[in-house]
Amino acid sequence: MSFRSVTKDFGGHVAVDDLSFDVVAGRVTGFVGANGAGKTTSMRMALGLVAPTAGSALIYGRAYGDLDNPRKVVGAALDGPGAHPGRSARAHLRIIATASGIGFDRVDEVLSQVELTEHASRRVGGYSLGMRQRVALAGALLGDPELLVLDEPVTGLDPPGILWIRELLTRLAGEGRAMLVSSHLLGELAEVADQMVIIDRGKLIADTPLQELLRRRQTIVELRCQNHGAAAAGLEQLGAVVERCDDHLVIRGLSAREIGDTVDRTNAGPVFLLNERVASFEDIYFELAGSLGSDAAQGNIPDAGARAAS
Amino acid sequence: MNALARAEWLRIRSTPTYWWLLLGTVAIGVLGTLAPLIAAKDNSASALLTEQRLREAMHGAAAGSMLVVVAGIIGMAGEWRFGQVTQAFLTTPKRRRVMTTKLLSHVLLGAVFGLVAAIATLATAWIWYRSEGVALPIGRTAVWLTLFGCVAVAMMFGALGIAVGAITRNPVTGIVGALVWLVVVEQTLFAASRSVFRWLPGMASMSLRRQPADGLLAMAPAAFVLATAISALLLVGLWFVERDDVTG
Repeated sequence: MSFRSVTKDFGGHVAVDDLSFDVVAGRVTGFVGANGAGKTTSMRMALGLVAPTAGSALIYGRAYGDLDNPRKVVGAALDGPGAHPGRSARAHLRIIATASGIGFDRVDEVLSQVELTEHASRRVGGYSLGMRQRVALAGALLGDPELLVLDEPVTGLDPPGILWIRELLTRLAGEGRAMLVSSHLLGELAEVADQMVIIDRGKLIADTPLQELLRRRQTIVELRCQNHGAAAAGLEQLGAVVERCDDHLVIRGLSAREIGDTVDRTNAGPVFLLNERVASFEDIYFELAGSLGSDAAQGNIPDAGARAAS
Repeated sequence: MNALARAEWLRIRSTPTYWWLLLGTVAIGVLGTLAPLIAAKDNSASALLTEQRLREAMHGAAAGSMLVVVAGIIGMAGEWRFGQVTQAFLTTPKRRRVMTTKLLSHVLLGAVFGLVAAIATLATAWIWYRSEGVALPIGRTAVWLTLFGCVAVAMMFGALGIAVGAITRNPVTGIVGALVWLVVVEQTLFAASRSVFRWLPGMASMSLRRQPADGLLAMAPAAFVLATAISALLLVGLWFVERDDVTG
C-alpha cells in the first residue's frame, strides 16, 4: 500500500496534507496520531471510501476499487463491525462472505479465530465493545488477505481485551501479513509494529523504524525548585533541552546528578522535586509533533541535542 | 452480480425489520379490506358486486404496498445508520453495482409484498363476501386489474424507496419525508387542483392501483409518470451515493 502526496480537503478543513508513505509487505506499520490527526481519513482514502482531493493511495499499484475481489486482498476493520444490531455475527459475516464468493466454512473459521463461536448466533446489538471489535476483526480476516488495515483496534477495550488484540496482532504479524494499524497511543503499537508512521494535523512528522524510536527513549528529568529561570539558563548552557511547564521543568540530555549540581551552582535551590524517568512513547510523540510540525521530512527524525544547539 | 444479489437477499432475510413490515402489510391488507366493507350501509349482493364496491374491497392491497417504500428506504438509507455502508463498499467498491443490486432486489421484494397484500386482501374479501352469501367475482376486471395494479405499484415503490434512501441516507428522514409527501402533500395539492396535480407520482400510483377517486390519470400515462419520476429520483440518488465520501 502506498500513499503518494495524498491530500484531503473537507470544504476548507485539510484533514490530510500531502501525505506519503508505504506499507511494506510482511511488515507491521503503526500509524500514530492524535484524535483528528487524519489517520482514519487516510485509511478510508486507501480503501476507496473517501476520495482524495489530490494524490493517490494505491494497493499493489491499483486503486482499491480496481482490485478483483478486494476482500481477498485487503481486510479492513474500521469503526466497529458495521453490522445491523438486529443481526447475528454469523449472519453478518455470511453476507460479506456471500458477496465475496467466500464459503461459509471460512465464516466459522474466523469466528473461531476471534474466539466468538459461542456467541455467533446472538444479535450484534447485545455485544460488548470488545465483542464488536472481534466481529470487525473477523470481517477483516474473512478473505484471508495479505494486507490488513485496522483502525484503532484497541480503542475502548478493557485490559483483557487489549491483551487479546495485542496477542492476535502479534500472531497475524507472525503469519507474515502486512498490516497498517492505527492508534492514538504510540506505546500501544510498540509491541507489534516494525515501522512507525506518525502524523499530526494531517501531515507526516515521522516515518521511521520502531528501533529508531526506541533509541530515542532517552532519560528525562522533572525538576521543581525555587528559581526555575536560573536553573533553566544554567542547564541550557550545558546543552540540555529544557521544557518549561507551569510548576516544573522537564529536562532532556542531562542526568539527575548533573541537574542537581547545576541547580546548586546557579543558586536556583532549594529543590522540591527531582525525578528521573525514561521518556514514554507519548513524550516522543509530543516532542516530534511539537517541534517538527509541518516541516517534517519523511524518515528524518531530528536529534534533540541538535535542536537544542540550534 | 449474482453473488451480490444472493448477499442482498441474505441481508434482507436476516433483518428483522423486513419481517415486521411484511406482517404489517398483511395486517393493513386485511384491515384496509374490512374497513370499507364495514363502513358501507348497503351490503346487499347487488351493492357488493358493483364496480365501485369491488375496487373498494381491493383497497387493502393498495394500502399494504405503501410499506414497500419503507422497506426500500431502510434497505438503502439503513446502510448508513450502523456503518454497514462501509462493509458494503469494502466488499463491492463499485457503488453503482451495490445500488443496482439493491434496486433489483427491492423491486422483487415489492412483488413479494404486493402479492402478500393481494392474497391477504383477496382472502379477507372472499370471506366477507361469502358471509354475505355472495361469491367474490375474481374474474371481474375490477378485482384482478386492481390487484395487478397494486402489485405493480408495490414493485415500483420498492424502487422508489431505494431512490429516496439513496438521496437522504437517513432512514427516519427518508421515511417521514416520503410518507408526508405521498399522504399529505400530494393529497392536499390534488384536492386543490385535480387537473394539474394528478400528474404527481403519488397520484399516478393511485391511478395504477385503481383507487376509487375521480380525476386521476388513466393507467398507461400514470405508469409512465410514476416510472419517470422514480427513474429521475434514482439518478439523483446514484449521483449522491457515488459522489459522497463514506466517513463513518
